[in-house]
Amino acid sequence: MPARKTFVWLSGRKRPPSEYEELSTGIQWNGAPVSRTATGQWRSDSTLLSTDWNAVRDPAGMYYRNYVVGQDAAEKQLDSVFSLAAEADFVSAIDPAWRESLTVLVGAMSFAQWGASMVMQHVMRFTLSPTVACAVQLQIMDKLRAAERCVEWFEVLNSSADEKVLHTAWDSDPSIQPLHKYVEQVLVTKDWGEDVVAINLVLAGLFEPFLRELYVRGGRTHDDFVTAALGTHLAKDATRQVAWTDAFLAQCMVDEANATVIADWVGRWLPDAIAAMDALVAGYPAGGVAERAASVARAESRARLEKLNVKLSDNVATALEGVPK
Amino acid sequence: VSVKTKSRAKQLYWKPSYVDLDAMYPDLASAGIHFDDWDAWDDPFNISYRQYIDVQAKKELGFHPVRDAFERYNGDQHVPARWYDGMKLAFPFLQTAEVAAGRAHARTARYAPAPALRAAAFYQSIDEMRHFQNHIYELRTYNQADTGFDNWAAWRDNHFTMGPARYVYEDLMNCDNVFETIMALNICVEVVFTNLIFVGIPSVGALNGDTAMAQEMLTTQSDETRHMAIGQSTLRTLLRDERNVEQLQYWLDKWFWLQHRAVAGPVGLIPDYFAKRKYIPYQQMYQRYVIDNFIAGMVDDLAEFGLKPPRFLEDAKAELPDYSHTLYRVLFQYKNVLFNRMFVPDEHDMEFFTSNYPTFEANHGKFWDEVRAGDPKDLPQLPMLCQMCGLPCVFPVPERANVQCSMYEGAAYWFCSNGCKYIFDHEPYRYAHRVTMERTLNGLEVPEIRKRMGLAEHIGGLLTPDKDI
Repeated sequence: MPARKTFVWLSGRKRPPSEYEELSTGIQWNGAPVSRTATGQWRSDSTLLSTDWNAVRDPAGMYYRNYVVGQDAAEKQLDSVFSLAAEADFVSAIDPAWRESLTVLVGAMSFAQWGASMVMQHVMRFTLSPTVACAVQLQIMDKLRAAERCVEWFEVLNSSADEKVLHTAWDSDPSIQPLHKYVEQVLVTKDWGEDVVAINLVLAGLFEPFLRELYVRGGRTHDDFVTAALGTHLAKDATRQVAWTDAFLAQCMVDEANATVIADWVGRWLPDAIAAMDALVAGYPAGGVAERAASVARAESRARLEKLNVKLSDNVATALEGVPK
Repeated sequence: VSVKTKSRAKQLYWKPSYVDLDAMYPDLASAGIHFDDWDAWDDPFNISYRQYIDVQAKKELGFHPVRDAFERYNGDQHVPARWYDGMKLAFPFLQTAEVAAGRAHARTARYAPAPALRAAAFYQSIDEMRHFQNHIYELRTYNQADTGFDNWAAWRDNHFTMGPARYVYEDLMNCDNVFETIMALNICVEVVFTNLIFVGIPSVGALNGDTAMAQEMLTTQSDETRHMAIGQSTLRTLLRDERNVEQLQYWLDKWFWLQHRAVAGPVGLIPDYFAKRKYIPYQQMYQRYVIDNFIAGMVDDLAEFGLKPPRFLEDAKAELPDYSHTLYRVLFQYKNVLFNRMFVPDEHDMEFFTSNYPTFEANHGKFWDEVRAGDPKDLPQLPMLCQMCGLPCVFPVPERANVQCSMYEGAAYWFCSNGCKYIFDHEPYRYAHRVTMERTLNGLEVPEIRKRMGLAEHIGGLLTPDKDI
């Protein structure tokens, strides 16, 4: 049987291209914009980064078809978890102190996830890389999933509360405000490369392991299997986001100018991200689980930055080493 | 477990506390459009992630087996050769349009002033990813059966026939005002023209053995119905404030005409020429899917708000007896610099044309008589391309082309129609800097033109008689 023919820009390689590569490359065009508007299209001055935009690959190899089919199966699993919890009235058995802390956290995180997805819409609109655009498109949906599932769980935990209570956590709870401020500041940051660093490397570098530990380990500790299951699912989605981000940034880091820019961005955002996590820990009374989660998050964030060879200034490195109060 | 969960995304809108509202949601995105309370805007679908994934996974599981079966059982053997040459033009164009549409929806999702519009745009944006990737599946399938599909990205970037895709869809993507994007995309593309493309053309494809393409187009259209409803509700809502009517009318006039040119021009080649087995003449198809559905439906309903039919609708209708025939003739004259192949219409085609288009013989018969007598009709230079839409300035028929001109800052700009000139005259700064491709390529020899447009030696030309044309 003759080998399958592929597109010119993917041919001539030892290994035939994957379905993912055929579906995700070649999709953007170059050249001068065809109309003069303030918005414009993707262009080289939309980020300080510069690399071979067409060479970026998502290690997970996700595209629309395998994404929706895979996520449909994952969503069915979560449906079952929520349904079983309702049928067996698991919520009333959850430790009240854990439940109270969790309610604030889950409610607030729904806004943070939604905010992150809004940031990523800007990234997708302006990125110069077709494969980054595809990965971001799916990440946006993951964040939407996380936001909606968090609201759903919040509503179960607070069945008598109205919508205002959901907003209260995000708008005025002191332990949430540094995170709230961080998300708003990224939302008005126009360099899409900086947005990727601020959300996917810096904030997610801390918050994804932090939330995973808090939800999964904390849920287990407090006999709360719904939160543990939710945390497991969201962590799986986050693993894909970390993978494409690190593949993209590792490719950028080969260039010294990019490495300097990325280190500057990390230096700018990381102290605020640490402060946001520490504020959450300080407002989280549930038996030391948050402190442990923050410690794991610091270690994983540090390891990730080291693996990418991101140079940290002394004060940022010290902040990452520090123990939350 | 029911998946009829409510969308919770709208609940998650907040007014910023640490940055300015205008920095987070710039006025630029809705400048000049009036609405009392953006936060109270409603979205007719209000879909949730859970619902979306459930429905779309079912659609994907339904479509791909059809495409797989087409490849596995050599479906291409039942497809006339000429059909592929139509698809060579269609799919790079469609892919470009879908990518631009996805990015346009992404900007609406991020910057629209109403939370409900932003939430709805999330799903529209990822729908477009589905569409362009499914179009690429088609290109992959075709690429196994024929030449001329393997370098579609280069042709999109460099070939003059793909200029209209960039001119119209990139421009649509780059609108500053998200409501111009919605009028252009949700109304003028999705409401007005997608039934023609994704319902009309699949009928032709199925008749010509391309079941994979037919299924792909129909499953695409199943997403478009959601986009149409959002566009219609947006337009209806905005029209309630009479201060918006003039601006909305201009956008309707503008984008209807540009879609009539960029989409409805090339699409007409498929049912009339690249389909060996005919369905209905293009003129009739246009009447059914565009005029009857759109004008008799939506525009008439909205007349009470002061909205009029598109300004150049009558111009569009007047062109229909010649639209596909003129465009095919022009492309035939440039067959040596195309990435698809052309052919001389056979007896069956000519009978179809003369019996369905009363003016065909008078307007186009002589051209084909001369071709059959041995005149290749090749032209040495590319045609003059319209500054606005990028199509050749040859309509309604090359012998009586309605070429228009405008002066701007001391330079002359040429247009294919009253509609294109009208748009330019309203927004000359936006469009004057474009350099149409014939201005950069004319004067060069054919081999050099081919090289600049990324055409390998075996690409384009005429279909050879050894194939089932």
